[in-house]
Amino acid sequence: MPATIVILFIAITAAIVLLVGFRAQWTRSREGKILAFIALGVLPIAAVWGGFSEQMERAESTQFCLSCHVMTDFGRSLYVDDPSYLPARHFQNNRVPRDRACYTCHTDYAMFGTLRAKLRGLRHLQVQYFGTIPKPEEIKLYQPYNNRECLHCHLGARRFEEGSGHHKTPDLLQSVKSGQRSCLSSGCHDIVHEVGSLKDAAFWKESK
Amino acid sequence: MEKPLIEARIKWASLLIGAGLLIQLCTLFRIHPLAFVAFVVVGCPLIGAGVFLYLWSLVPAKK
Repeated sequence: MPATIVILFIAITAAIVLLVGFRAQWTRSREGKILAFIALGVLPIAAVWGGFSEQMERAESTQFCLSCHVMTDFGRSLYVDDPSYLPARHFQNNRVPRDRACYTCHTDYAMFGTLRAKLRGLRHLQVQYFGTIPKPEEIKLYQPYNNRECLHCHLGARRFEEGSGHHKTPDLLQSVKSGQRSCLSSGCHDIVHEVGSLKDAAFWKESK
Repeated sequence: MEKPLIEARIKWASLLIGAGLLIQLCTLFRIHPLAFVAFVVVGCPLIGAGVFLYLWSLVPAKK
């Protein structure tokens, strides 16, 4: 649902709710009781539902993730002009939607992945405002990056299944698929954000 | 003339819901984690409390 419609709906609901509240004597009639039920019962719940889904959608956006200062370098790393940087290569070639770049790779594609990501986000917020903010290069994942997140898109793709790099040894592809060998830390695709080395990097300028 | 109890409660319920909706409205003008938290931690409970108060006002008081 477009954000404008949600905003408009919430604004209209607020106006109706306050009108009913300040004209509470209307509720003495049957029509007034029905109006009060809709205004104070049905509409607010619909507004919360609409607002919540809008907020959840926004929380998946790249803009949302990069709105904290500590994440700025991770955002810059998406523009490094070097195809060996895995996130940059995905971002610049539209292998991930640019407006959801972070979320596409960093949410577990499992049953409670979204919920877990949100809870971790709350923890990040607590550290941002009440804790000691680490340097960008000190930020690490909670657990090693799961191949599942890569395979969500790449599994079955011809380039992945038939690429010569994935058949260097007979069991390589199978060990990647089973998660025994990590895509990122087995000497294959191990250049990721590398925010500590961005000072010397050249950056891609997106043509408008 | 004194207002009936139900009308006073409806007025309070509408104020709570209205405040919650206005906070929710404000959070939708900025894409930021704090806006998300304000929506969930402040806006939603205010609306929930307002709806609860309204429903409570429908329950007849003991005589």
